[in-house]
Amino acid sequence: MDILDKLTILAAAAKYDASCASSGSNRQNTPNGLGNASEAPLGICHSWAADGRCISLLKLLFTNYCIHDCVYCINRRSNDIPRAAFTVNELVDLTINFYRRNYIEGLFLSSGVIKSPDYTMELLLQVIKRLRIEHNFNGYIHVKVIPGASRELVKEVGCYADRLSVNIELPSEQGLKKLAPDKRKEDILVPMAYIGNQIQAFQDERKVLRSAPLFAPAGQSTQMIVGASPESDFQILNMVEKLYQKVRLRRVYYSAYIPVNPNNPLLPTGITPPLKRENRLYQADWLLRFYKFRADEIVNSDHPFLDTELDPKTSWALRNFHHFPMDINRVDYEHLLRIPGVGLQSAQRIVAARRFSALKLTDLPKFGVVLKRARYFITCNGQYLEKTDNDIYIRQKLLAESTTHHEGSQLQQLTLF
Amino acid sequence: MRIYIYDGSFEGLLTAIKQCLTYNGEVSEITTPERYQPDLFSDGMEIKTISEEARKFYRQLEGLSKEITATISYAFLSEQSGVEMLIYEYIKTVFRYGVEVITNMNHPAIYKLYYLRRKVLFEIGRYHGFVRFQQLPNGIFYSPIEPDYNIVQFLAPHFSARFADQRWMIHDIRRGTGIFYDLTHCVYLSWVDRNHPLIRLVLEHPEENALPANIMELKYQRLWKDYFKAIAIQERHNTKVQRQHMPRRYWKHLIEDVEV
Ligand code: SF4
Repeated sequence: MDILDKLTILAAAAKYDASCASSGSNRQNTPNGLGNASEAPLGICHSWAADGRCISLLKLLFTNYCIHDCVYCINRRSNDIPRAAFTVNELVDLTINFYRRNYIEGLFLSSGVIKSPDYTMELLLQVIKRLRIEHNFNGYIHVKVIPGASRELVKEVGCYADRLSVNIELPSEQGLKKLAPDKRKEDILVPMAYIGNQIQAFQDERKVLRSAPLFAPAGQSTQMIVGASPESDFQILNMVEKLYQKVRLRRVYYSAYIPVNPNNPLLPTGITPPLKRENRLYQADWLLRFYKFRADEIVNSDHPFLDTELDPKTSWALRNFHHFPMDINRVDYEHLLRIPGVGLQSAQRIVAARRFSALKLTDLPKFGVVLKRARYFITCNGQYLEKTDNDIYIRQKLLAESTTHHEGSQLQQLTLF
Repeated sequence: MRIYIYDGSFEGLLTAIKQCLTYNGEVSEITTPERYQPDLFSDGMEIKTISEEARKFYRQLEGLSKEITATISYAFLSEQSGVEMLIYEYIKTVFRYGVEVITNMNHPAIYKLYYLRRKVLFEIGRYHGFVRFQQLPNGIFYSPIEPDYNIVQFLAPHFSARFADQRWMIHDIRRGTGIFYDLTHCVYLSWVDRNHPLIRLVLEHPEENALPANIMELKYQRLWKDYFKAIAIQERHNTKVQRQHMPRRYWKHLIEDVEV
C-alpha cells in the first residue's frame, strides 16, 4: 500500500480524537536541532479543516488494526473497514517533512492495539525516540497511552513526549463496562495517576536542577465521549473537577458522540452529534479552570444538565440573582469574573482602568465587555443599563438576540476609528 | 497649524514627533510626501530624518517602558492611515500623565494604539501558522506571503529559533521585502537588496507559480493536501468557523485546498 493511501486511512481513523492542542510545553530547540515547542505557550494553529477544527498537530494512528471491540469506535475489531499500518520510518519521515514546511506544530500519535498493549506502545516509542534522538526534533509530540501498557514503557514515553493522554472514553464505570468491555477502569485511572505523579516528581527535580530531564512538560490530558451513554452533565463535571484537582490534568476534551457504528443496540440511534452540549461542556470547563467556579455551582441535582440555550455563566447568574447587580467600580476581580459577558481580559482591564478614574457604563465595550449579556447584571455609580430582576424576561431577551446576532459579534464590531 | 511631512521611515516619524512636541501651535497632520495634500490653513513643514536624534528619542521612550516602544513599533507597521497622529497623541499622553497611563484602556489615545498593536500582533501570530515553505531545488525553503500589515521582519525570531538547521526565506511579495536565514543569521532584505547573490535565485521568480519544484516537494504537498481533507469530520461540517479563522485572503499561499 502506498504512503498516500495509508495517510488517508490513518488520518481519517484518528480524526475523532478532539485534542489537537500544541500548548504548554517548554521544550526549546537545541543547537542544530529542528523545532521549538516552547515558543508558543498557547499553541499554534496552522490551518482549519472543513469542520472548523484547528489543525495544529499531525494527528495519526500508527495503525487502525485493533484487537479490541469498543462499541462506539470506528476501528473496532468487528468492523469491516480498510486497515493499514505505518512503518516507523514512514511516520518519522512524514513528521519531519511536514514540520520543515511549517504545516504542523508536531505529531499527535495514537494507535489501535495490535498484539498487546505493550507491543503497540513499543512501536509508538520507537517513532518518538527516532524523532528526538536521530533527528534532533524539538517540535511538539503528544502520545496517547495505550490502556494496559506497562509502567516502564509509559515512563520512557514520557521522557520523549511533551504531552501524554489516557482517554477516559466514557464518563462512568457502567458506561465503560457496557461500551468498552475490553478496557478496565484501572487500566485508565492507574496510569493517569502514575503519570500525574511522575510529572510532579520531574518538576520538583527541575526546581532544584535546571538541567534535569523533562517528563511530559506539557502535562497530561484526557478525552471523553459525550452522548453515547446516559450520564448527566452533573456527573461529568463532578468527575472532571476531581480529575483537575487530584490528577492535575491540564485539559479535558469532550467529544460529541458521532454514530459511526449504526444499528448497534447498545448505542443511541438516530441522533445527530450533540455539538451544542459539547460546546456548553467546554464553557463549563473554562468556568472550572479559570473563573473559580465549583462544579456544583454550575450544575446540581436539581439542574443536572447544562442549559443548552444559555451559556453556563449566564445560566448560573439567573439562578443566583441575589448576587446582582454588581457595581463595576466597586466589586473585586473575583466578583467581576462572575458577571455574564465579562471575560478574564475585560475583568483585568476594568481593574487596571478604574484606578485612574471611575468608569462609566459607556466605557465598558472598550474593555471587551459584552453588554448584551452584562446589561442586566451591572450598575455603575448607581446607574442601571436596564433595571429588572425578572429572569424569565431576561432569558427571552437573550434568546431573541442570540438568534439575530451570533455570539461574540459585539467584539468583532468594535472598531478602532 | 502645521502639517509635518516625513520620509515614511520609522526614524523619520520619531524625528518629526520629537519636533511636534516642542511646537506651540496645533499639529494638524503628520504625513509623507506621497500622501501630503496642502490645505489652506496649515503650513507644510518637511522634516529631515536625523537618525541619531530618532534613536536617542527611542531610547528615552524605551527607558520609560518597553511597552511604549513595542506599542508604537507594532502600530507603525500597521501602515493604517492616521497612525502617525495616533502615535503622536500616545506619546504626548505618556509625557503628560506619566508612564502608568499606558494601562488605562479608558484613555482614547492609549486604547486606539493598543488595539492597533493587537491587530498587528494577531497577524504575526497568524503567520506563525500560515507560512508554508516549499523546498526549492537548491535546498532553500521558500515561503511567499501577503500580509495586511508590514510584519515580515517580526517573523524572524520565531522562525529562526524553530528552523535553525535549514536555510529558508520568507518573502512579502507585495511589499518586496523579506527575511533570509542562512543557518547562522537572519537578515532583512528590502527591495533594493534584490541583487544580493544569496537570494537572486528566489527573487527572480517572485511568482510562486514559477517556482521550480522537484518530485519530493510535490510529493509532500500532495500528502499534505490529502491529510487536510482526511482529517475533517463530515458530520461536523462547519465552513463558517473555518473561514472566520482562515479568511479567504490568506488561502492563496496555503498549500492545502481550502475550498473543496
Ligand atoms: S481500543 Fe481504541 S482503537 Fe481499539 S476499538 Fe477500542 S477505542 Fe477503538
